[in-house]
Amino acid sequence: MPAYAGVGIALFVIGLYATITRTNLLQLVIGLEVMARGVSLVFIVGGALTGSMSAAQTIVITTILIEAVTVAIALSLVVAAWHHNRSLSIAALRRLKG
Amino acid sequence: MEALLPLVILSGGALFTYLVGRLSRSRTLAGFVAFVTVLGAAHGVYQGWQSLEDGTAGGWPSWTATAPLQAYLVTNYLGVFLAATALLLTGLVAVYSMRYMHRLNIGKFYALLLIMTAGIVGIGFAGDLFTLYVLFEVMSIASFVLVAFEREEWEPIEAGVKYLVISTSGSLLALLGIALIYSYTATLDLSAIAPMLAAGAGGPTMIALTAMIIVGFGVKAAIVPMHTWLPDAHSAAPSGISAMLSGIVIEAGLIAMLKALVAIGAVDFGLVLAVLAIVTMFVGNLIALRQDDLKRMFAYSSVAQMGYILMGVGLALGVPHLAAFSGMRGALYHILNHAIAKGGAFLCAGAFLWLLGTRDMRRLSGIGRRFPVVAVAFIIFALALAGTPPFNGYFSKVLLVRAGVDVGGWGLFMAVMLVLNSVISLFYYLGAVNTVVFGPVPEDGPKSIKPLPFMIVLPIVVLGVLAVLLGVYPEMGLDLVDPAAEQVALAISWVFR
Repeated sequence: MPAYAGVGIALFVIGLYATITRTNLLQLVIGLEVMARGVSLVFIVGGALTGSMSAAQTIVITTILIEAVTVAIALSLVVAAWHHNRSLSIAALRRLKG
Repeated sequence: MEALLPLVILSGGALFTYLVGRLSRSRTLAGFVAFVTVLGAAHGVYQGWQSLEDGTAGGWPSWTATAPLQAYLVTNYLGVFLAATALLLTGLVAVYSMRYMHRLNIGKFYALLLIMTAGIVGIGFAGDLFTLYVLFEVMSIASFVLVAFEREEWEPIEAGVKYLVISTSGSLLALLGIALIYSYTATLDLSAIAPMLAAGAGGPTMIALTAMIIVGFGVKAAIVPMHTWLPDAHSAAPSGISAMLSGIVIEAGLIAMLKALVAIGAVDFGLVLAVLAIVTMFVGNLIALRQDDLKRMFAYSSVAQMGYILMGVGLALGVPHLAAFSGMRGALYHILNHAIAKGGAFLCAGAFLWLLGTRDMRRLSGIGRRFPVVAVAFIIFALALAGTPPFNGYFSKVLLVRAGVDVGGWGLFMAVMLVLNSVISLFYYLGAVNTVVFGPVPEDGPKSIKPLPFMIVLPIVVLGVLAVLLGVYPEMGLDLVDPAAEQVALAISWVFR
């Protein structure tokens, strides 16, 4: 099992790495998407290995739905941030402190 | 069936409230519809409670329990407790927001508020890990939009982006843990996972899974060091939403974590949670000491209060044969008391913000003297949060301390840490009261201040009365808390057999 799921976990780690290190807001959102795809892959692998593919498919489709909503909201916030200071850099997100 | 009823009422009500708000553009009407929806959902939860008392309660839908994907809702005491707390706060916030919120987009505001509450109620009733995750995300997504609701200003945007990115990363990590559990056991049923994972207990796989669950759901529960989004989000959100976020959303995150941890039978992680609890208390209290922003101070104090609640959970999981019941009882009762007192404190802070347009305590100095009713309530909430006797926060802290003392050893150490932290917190709570109520009115402040609408004062008074009532007659709250604590304690002892 771990060898197959390893690909999904690797994808998740790549996405997490992107969300931590990238400085562009859009790249952060893409990082979140990559993480979600990694998780979906682990579900698919799990479904294939345990012989319950139908359940895994149900889960993955629901996950995609949730991700689509999250990303839509994330992008609307990115657009709002762009309108406020004409920049997509996370350096602009440093005004709140304390 | 009973478990589904509140969810259906809340989501249907959300749609209806949106239409009413959109068509009438009346804040009072939209708020009234939202309030009635909350009452309907409360009736549904009450029916669930009745069916639990009669012993007729069960899961819904029954046919999915045997299907490959065991997705269903179960009526249970923990869910009733969480739903009752959430609905109490939502109803009062719905009344409060009738005047507090701007007329623009009022339908969207109330619809999102009800959807967020539906997510919280669903977390309590979820019968399997994936349903738990989906409803957790329903709550999260609604709260992202609500935090960034006033998007013509910069602060909510920045807070919203941080909150969304950190929280989504966390819940995806939890989902990765759930996916791995699924590929090991081929089931997500909360009651069926633990026996199948028992063979690997204490092994590296189990440690990795538990870490994913703790970190993943811990982001929402604002456990230090995953708390960094909280002060921005809670101070930037509209005040009614701050009350909801601090009062019940982060607690719902903790309950989701608790349900997942008990389900996978995470043995020997109580001590880890206890250490995290101590760190969380200290960080929250020490940073709250040096805040000038009233809402930001309360936000950091929420971090500290989550530390107290986490201490009860840590004791219950760490020493199940001694503290499974007493630890959970303290933790759950503190969730209820914190929802009342912190919700009220944020509503007071919101009232002052509504009057003067600032959250800076130096500018708010002396404002309380002009509104004695709100000022008295503010003092009650501050003292209740600090854990001073005749108010509600005292009793639940006593329960937590007693759980620690009963355990002895590191439990005793934790009890001492809790008392020490309560003393630290008294400094900033009393400091806030001293400035906001008894401080000198700034000379350049506004000469005349508009009166506070009745709809803003009413929820504050109701929460203030509840804070006193539960302090004087603590057994009233125990009727709600004890069955839930018993249920969790039973599940814990079953896992740790």
